[in-house]
Amino acid sequence: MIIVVAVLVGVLFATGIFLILQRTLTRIILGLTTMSNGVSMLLMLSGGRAGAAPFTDRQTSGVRLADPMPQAMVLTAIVINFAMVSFLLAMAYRSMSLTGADEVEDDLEDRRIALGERVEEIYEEIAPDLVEERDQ
Amino acid sequence: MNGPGVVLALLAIHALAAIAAGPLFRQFGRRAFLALALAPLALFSWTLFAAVRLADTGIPHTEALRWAPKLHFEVAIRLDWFSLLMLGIVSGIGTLVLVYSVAYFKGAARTPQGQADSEVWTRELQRKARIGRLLVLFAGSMAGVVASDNLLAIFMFWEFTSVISYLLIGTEDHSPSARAAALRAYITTAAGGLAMLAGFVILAQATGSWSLTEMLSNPPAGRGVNVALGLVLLGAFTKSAQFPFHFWLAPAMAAPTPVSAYLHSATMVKAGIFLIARFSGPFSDVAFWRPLILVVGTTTMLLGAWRALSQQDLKVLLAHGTVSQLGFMVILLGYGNAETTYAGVALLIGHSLFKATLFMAVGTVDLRAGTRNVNELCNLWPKMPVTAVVTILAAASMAGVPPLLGFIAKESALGSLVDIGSTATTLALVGVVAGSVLTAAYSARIVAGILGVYSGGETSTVKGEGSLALVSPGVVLTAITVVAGVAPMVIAPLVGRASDVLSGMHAKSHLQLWHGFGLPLGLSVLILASGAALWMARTRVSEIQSSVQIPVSGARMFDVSIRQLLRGSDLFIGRLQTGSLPFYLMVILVTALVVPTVAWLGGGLPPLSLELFDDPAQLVVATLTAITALSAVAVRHRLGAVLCVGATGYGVAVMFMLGGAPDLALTQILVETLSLVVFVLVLRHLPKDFATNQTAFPILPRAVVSVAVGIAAALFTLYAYAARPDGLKPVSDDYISASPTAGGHNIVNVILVEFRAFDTFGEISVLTVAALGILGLVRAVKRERGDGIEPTTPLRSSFILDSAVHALFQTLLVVSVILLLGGHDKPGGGFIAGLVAGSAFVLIYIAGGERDLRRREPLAAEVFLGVGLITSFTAGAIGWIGGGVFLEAKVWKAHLSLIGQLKLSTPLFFEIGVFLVVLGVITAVLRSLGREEVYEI
Repeated sequence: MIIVVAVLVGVLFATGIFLILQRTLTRIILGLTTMSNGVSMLLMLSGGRAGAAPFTDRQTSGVRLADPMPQAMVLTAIVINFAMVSFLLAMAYRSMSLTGADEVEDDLEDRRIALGERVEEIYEEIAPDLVEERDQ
Repeated sequence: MNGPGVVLALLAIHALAAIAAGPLFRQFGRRAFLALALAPLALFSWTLFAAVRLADTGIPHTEALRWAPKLHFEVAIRLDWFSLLMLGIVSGIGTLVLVYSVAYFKGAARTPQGQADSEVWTRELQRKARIGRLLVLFAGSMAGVVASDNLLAIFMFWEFTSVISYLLIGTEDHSPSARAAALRAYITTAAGGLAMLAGFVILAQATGSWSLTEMLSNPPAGRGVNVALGLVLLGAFTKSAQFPFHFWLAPAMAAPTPVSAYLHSATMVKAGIFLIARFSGPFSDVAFWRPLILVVGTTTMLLGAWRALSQQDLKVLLAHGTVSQLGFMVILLGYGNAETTYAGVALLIGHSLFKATLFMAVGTVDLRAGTRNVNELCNLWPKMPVTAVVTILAAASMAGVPPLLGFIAKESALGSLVDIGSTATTLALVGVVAGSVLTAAYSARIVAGILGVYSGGETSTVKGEGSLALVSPGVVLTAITVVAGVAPMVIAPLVGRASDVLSGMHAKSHLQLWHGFGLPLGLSVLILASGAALWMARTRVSEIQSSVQIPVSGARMFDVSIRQLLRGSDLFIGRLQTGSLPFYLMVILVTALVVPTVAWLGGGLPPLSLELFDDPAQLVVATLTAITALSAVAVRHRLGAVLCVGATGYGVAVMFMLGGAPDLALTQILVETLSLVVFVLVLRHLPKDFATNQTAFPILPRAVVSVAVGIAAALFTLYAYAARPDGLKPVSDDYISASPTAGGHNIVNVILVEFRAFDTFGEISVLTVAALGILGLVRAVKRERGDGIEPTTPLRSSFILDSAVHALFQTLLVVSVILLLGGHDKPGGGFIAGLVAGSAFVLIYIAGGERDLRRREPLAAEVFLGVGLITSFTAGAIGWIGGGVFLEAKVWKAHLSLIGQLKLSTPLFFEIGVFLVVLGVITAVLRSLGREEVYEI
């Protein structure tokens, strides 16, 4: 269970990230789901070779068992991912009702910082004397 | 080391008094200041007691509160003579300042003019309560600085004083200049405080102890220690307003006068001096110490005095005077010689007395006469003789007029510098004499100011002295100044003991009024005569002053560096923080690519032994899954994309099955199905297709980054697989062998509810939070839009589906219970059972809509979530019984005649909790996103 799975993990990551890198929230959610499927596969594979399902009553026959530890982690991850997807969908719904689109918009405050507008404001707060001095 | 004791209790009382300040002020008005004064008063009384005991036994009082012993952090108290002296000053002046505040803040609050003004009255009261609270908190913090023996505790209290000072300077928070002054003071002192902390850490590493006493008695040495000392001095210089950090003190006069008297003259600014004095004993021999101390101290003394001489506002004049005197103290207490230290301690006491007095007197004058500008003040002598006398005596002490304490201190300072006689100290002596001449001149300016000399000597029209509380603190302090001056033997033993503790040597000096004829006396006469001459020639002097521009301005340096800092961070952050989510993701992804790649290229990784697959079926399934994933990217239709991703999920489920993970396959299929339902519920409200042209980036960079991350993930997967060396025993082996003893055959389930149950507990908490978030988000929409509009066409579906669902519903619930109870041995468990039960409700919803759902499932989602979480927690808490740990499994077995063996175990209850939480998440989604109301958008 190696190269084939590794390639599948790669494809799931690539498509997931391609979907995340845009503004439509629905697509971002789909991207996250795809990526988390990739992560599940990755975790599974980190448990080593595939084996029989990890149940102790079958161990008597000497069959090699699949590693149960990554499975336990993946199981909770799947359920949590479900909760997260539902939460994000609720956000998309909320965004739709507020703005009429499920788009992730730019943070305006951040944009102002990026444009250097806030710097002057902060500066005036710290050193009004010098600002006055310069204004004169 | 003793445990916590009286001193820590007294410090705690300060904190409690601060907490009680609000109710006290509401109850007693401004008289609550008196109640607050009890805290420092108690400390002062205890200090006297401790001094008597120390004189008897010779053993310093110690106590300690272990806070975080592994971090070497304990609030350790050690009271030697110097600490006791400082503690006395801090608590004594603190008491007097609080008493003074009772009268000072009377004018600030007028009695309410009827009901209309009650709001103003309340606001005023709150302001006073705030000042009182901060003052008493400051008294406690400052006491902590001078009494602590642990370097971290000193730093903590030190920072407290900085923060409180910031809040007090900014009392008039509507004034931009007050806010700026507060911020400037805080940035300067806090930056210095951080430097000091770094110095402390280095010193503690070098000493091997965080105890101040141990460090000073076994002083470490080396280059690291020298750096540390530089950092500590930086902290001390910023706190004590030494050049070039002196600029914050004068604007700090925006604070109410009692605050200035206490923080910015008598105590807080002496914290730096305190530290320098402590360190100068063992460390003054370090090469740079003495030159630095002398240059900084002398420059500060001259600069401060020069500035003070030209001021019109008496309070600002005093502030510059304080800067100057602090420089003087740095010279004396920093030099590290027994005699200079002795003189320094005397000056420290003298300065605390006269400067606190002068500030309070100026506050009184301001309050009574309505101005503190020397050019506007009329002669106050006839109407306010007590205040006038107090001011004149305090100013005379500052100028060094006999027979006051200031004179004696200055005499011994001059004497000690003359005695050393090196080139450096002689230069410093010249500086001190010049500074003292200026000091004498500005002292005369204060006296002339309140006597109305500058305004023509008219008698003021003020109505008397004001209340007892306004006058008495200054009188008390001046009385000490006079008594200590006339009869120096009263305080000489204290000064001697404190300075011996600091220098580690015995000072030969004695405080004496009459030292005999000699150079010091000559210099004193010279100082007073020149000071008087300077004052007489004041018109000429002020002309010179206005023509001389001091080229370096600390404030300007500060402003410019702040501006450059802001510009620099703007250049950096402006590029990174653009406000665009895709851009942020891009930055994260590129970082995630670059950093491991660098490590990968640099370090040797094990060779990969690769196989194509375990099972040919994997190749088929993986190919199909990859195709569905790729088509999800291409599809423009919203539902289409959702279906593609769903198909990917099912593909992954099959991969799980093939990889030997039936539990995962089951969970994945259930979750995929439920996700589809949730998507459809939300997609009802969204446009059918994705909008075009919404991307933040062109398609090419997006594709490049995606593919690169995909390749990296694939490689990472291969290495993660290869990183399981055969020689090492994985942790899972223990789980596998321990699983039967834990009473379960499904190892994955046993891991979830027993071995790693605490993780699972965390996960169900996350689920609960997410479900509550969903409910909240949707409720917000409902609240804004009011009740929804009922759909015109009822959502009744086919009769066949309806009947089938109703038959299935019970079956599914039974199945879920079987999965729940049997999960320990067979595939199943709380998560899967919860998902199955949830799908039963989803079926009901699909067939009958929300109303049917309500009928079948009358409980709110929150109930499931809450009961589930509590059940799991209780099951875990039972583990505590009998001294066990949280989530330790407990099992009870009982034989019942009819049923056979009955087994009850806490993991089962834990699992039931998990089941309920998962069910709660699904019902929360259905209840909120599945609402039938259609909102107009």
